[in-house]
Amino acid sequence: MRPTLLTGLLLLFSLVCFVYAWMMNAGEAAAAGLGLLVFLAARAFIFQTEVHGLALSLTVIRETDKTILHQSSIVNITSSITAVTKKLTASFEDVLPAGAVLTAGSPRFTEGRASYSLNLPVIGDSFFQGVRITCSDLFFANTLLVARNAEHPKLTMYPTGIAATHHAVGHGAGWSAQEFDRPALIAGFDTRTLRPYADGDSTRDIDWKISGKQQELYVRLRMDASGGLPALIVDLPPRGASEELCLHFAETVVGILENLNIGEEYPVIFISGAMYLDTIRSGESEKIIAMLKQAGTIYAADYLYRLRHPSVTRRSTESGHQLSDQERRIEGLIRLYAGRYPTDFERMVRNISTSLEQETHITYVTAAYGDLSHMTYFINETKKNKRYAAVFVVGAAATPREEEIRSAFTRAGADVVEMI
Amino acid sequence: MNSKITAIITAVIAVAGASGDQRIIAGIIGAAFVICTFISLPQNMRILLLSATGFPLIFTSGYPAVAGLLVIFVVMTLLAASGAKIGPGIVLPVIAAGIAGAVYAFQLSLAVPVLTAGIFLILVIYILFVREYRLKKHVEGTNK
Repeated sequence: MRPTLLTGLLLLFSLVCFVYAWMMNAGEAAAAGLGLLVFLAARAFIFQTEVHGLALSLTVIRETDKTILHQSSIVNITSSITAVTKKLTASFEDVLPAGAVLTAGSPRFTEGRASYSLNLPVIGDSFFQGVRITCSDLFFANTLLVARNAEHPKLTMYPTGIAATHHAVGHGAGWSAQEFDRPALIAGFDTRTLRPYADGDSTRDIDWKISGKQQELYVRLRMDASGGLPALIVDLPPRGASEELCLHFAETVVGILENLNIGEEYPVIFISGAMYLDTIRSGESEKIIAMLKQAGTIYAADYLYRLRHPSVTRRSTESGHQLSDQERRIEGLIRLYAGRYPTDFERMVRNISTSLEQETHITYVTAAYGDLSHMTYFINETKKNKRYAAVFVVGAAATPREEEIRSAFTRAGADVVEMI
Repeated sequence: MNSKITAIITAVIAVAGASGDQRIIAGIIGAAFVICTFISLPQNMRILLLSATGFPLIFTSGYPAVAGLLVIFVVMTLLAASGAKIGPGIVLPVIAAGIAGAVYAFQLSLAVPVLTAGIFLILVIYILFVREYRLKKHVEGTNK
């Protein structure tokens, strides 16, 4: 509860009364000060009672055009509220699900209605956080978050671009005891996954057998990749990344791991910029989580260009600059060895690439720190070996860097670039 | 409750109960107090002007009982002008404040103002913390 300017002035006046009473030894002035305080206390009591009534009278109904979402789909929301405000002045605002990005309209209610569109980049189930009420009268103001009916509707986002293979979807009756996505299994390691049917999906994509088993319509998501085992390369954010970004990053990695649901043996490789950290099997959840906790604490090497750069040869052609003896010696050495030996970073990328013999679907998760050269080099290497590269960029959606990052990774050859 | 009626009663009590040398001042301030309830003003300005004229009116009282009565009527006028619905929950604390004001004006001992201030502090803590907490609990309890 916050006092308004008027209440502040009255409190000041009350203080003046008490000071006057003390200095002039006037009991009447003390009585006047007390009267003012009693008046304000009575108003505070009335305000509290009215806010209480308002909060309890609030009802919210939200309607969405879809509840099952693709990664880049836009959801249109229409919310309506009813509330008894009595003598209070109140404004209402819908509080969007965590991580949601408003794309059009406003979540503020006008005449009891609000229409807006949002994009939800968070994988899995998301809920609205409630309605924020800001109410005031002449003397006090208050802001409350009322989360009634916040769990309706539930929005579920299924990521696209993740290479999944045949999916264990239930228990079979036979000796193998597990039911698989059979067409995907027959086709070898295909890149398919399943999700519940949503309006607009083609009926051709419905998997009737699984839908029959699950008593709910399921559609098969088709990906562009042509098959192979997956691998996950996680580029941990270095020191200086915000706690919120690190949390978001960890959530994304865990979400992708859950979606690459084909076993516990595929490699999860941790790097941070140009530094190799560790390779962990996908089944070792505790180790993966311990690794993710390091996000934001790693002191990474510099993020500037770390490969052999053509500029080392270009400098010799520049004229008019007198080099010192030491500079000349260094330049001579650089020119001598330029391109002859791989740098540590190149050797590291090559080693990782060699270790991924079976894996043809490489998923990258990065916060895109630095000049992006380490990521573009990785993606280049992936494409050179004719592998499928999907890149998830955390924390860049709806920022000025989004376009720059997307174009850099697309030019490097990434098949899918998703901004989370 | 009509604020005009309480304002007129306040002004009459103030003029009748003022100390001899301050009766004229009480008359002038009382008239200003009544005028504030008759002219059309924004509500916050009306509250401010009523406070600025009503509480100095209490200063002019010549008798402790009059000071107590003035506290009661000035606060009632302010509450009526601010649009509050006057019920027993408001009238009783206002009367208690009037009695406390009268005791202040008697200047019997230091203990009385200290005691009143203590009670008032408890009231403020109750409204700001206990009621606020209960409101939040109640709202969260119905968030289902």
